[in-house]
Amino acid sequence: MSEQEYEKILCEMKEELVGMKDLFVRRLYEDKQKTELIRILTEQIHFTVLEPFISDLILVLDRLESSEDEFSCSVHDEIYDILHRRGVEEIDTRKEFDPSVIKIVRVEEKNGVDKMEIEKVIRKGYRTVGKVLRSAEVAVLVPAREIDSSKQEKL
Amino acid sequence: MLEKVYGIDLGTTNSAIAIFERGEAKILKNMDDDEVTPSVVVFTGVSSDGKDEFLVGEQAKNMAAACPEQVVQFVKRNMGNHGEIYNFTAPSGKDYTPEMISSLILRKICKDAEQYDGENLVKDVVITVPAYFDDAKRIATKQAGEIAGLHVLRVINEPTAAAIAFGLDHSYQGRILVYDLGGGTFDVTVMDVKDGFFDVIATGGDPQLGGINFDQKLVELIREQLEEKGCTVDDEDDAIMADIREKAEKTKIQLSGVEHSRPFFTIQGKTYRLDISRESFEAASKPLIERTQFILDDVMCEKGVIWEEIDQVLMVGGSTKMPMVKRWLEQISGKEVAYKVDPDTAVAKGAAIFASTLKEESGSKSSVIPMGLKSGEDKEEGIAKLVISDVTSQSLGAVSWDTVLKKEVNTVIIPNNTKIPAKCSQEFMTLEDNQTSLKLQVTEGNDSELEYVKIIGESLLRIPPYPAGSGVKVIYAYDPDQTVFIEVIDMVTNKSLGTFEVERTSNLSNEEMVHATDIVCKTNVE
Repeated sequence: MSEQEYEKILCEMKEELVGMKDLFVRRLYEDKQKTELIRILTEQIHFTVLEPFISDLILVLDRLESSEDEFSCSVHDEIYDILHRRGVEEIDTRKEFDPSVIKIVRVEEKNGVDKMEIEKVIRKGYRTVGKVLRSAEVAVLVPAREIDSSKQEKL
Repeated sequence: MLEKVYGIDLGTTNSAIAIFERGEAKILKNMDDDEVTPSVVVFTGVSSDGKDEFLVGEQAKNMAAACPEQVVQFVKRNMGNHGEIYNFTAPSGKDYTPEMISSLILRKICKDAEQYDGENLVKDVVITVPAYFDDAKRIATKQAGEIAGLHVLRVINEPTAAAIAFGLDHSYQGRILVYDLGGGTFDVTVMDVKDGFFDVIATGGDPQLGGINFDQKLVELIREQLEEKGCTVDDEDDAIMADIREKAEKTKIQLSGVEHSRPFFTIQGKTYRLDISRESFEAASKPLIERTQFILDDVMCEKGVIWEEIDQVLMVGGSTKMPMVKRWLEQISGKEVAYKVDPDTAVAKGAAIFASTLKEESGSKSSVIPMGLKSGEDKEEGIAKLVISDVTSQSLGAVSWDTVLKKEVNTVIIPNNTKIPAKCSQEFMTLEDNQTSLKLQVTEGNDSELEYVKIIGESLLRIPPYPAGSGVKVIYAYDPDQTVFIEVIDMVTNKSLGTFEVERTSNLSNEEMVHATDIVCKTNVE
């Protein structure tokens, strides 16, 4: 082959390479856009479909919990298992009080209490990965305030 | 670090932050993965080094019942009321002004946004305010941003931001009505949009009317049906009340799509199945809708605006998602109501879009064309020019004697909606022969009746003894930093009789700003 022919082939190869590079860069960009779109759609599905569905089921769990018969308890446990397998879990209120997952709905002052403590869980809370679906609602005991007897009105 | 700009809707009940990038405005979620953050602050204690500890947002609401006296909410209602000394004393003994409380909310939403965004520190922001906010409240809002360490590029009206979110740009000409029904407040604004200028014609609202009132109607309907079925609802039973409230809110959402909602309740071992119809909900809510109509009629009537003059009606605020609101509004206006943008976040998104155009004006390059903004002759480097001028929100005037009415009246010198900086003058005459002093009282307000305007400053000036009827010229200059500068000219000699500035006693002084910033910046944002 002559030098000219080699040059021609090289030029064609170069053009093809440049074309392939452009295509590769475009595909990379499209992939990035698709990944972002998938992320957005997943988020939307979770936000508009799954979350409301799960929060509706949580209200059903609330009702089932109020019943003591064996059937209701078993249905409760079954629904909870279904949710749990999909990343939903009960909020643990036994740990240190965390206002990001626990909501105080009732407060009672009590003597003998040194610091705020949870007396009763009014409604269980639930969370999934990265999101609190519903805060646990609790009644707490707090130290009784000391009454300044000098400020009390004398009868 | 990339330089970005953000839009913030600093609301009475909830706040939100947005950014404009890649052609669309995007809400930046908070640490709870929510698009809005409750505008609630709770002071929980004092650290070992004397700093106040506090929570903002949903966590603050969760703690509120345990320390109700340390809860601060609806602080927006007290912005710019510094003269009335509305301060909150934290456990450390330090006083927090409304600006400082708002700055804590701003710091929280900005910090969460930084973590969500991952790349940038939030620094340059545009913050929105209600259209009815006077200058003192706007300055207070700006000061809140500065205390939080932000660079507040502009403070713009909420309905203006909403209009921008709906795509009304520099090429739009027309009169619009923005109906904003939020979680706890209702605002209605009529604006003229021309050549990129958003001119507020009339505004009004009810700070105690919002979605929670509609939720309460459903709570009442649920209780009625339970009682009809023989169930007595104990108000002290937290679990039942929480169940009713939560199902009321879900029912409201469901009734947007279906005619009936059938919530179940199990109370003391007995199960009740209710049937709440959309019809019954709408009937119960009618008085609330009528309340908004009353305000709307008042606002339009005040300026002689009729529906035929309105070109577009925009709905903002989550509560406008109820079909009855849209249907009713279309019925009374005779117009199709725009519903293109999520009403919960339209204001923050609009502020972000506007903020991005300010960034363009400062010279940074971008090749992105914002969604909703059309390219046109004014397009520079891919961004269509959008101009929102700073304008006076209230008229500035002086107290004068009306010789016809024989009483003191307010004479407007700089009308409201005048572009800032502004300089206007008005000629007056002396009242008596050989009068040697002149009392100039500076007013803020549009009305001619003094009882409806606020006196924001005054000065006593010496004048030579002239015959009655001698002319004096009062010149007002309104500077970009909201300083009002007054000069009075003796028209006989054409010499200045004196100058003075109006002190903004409703806002924090420079010293107070330094003190406030010092306190707030040392706090830790959770």
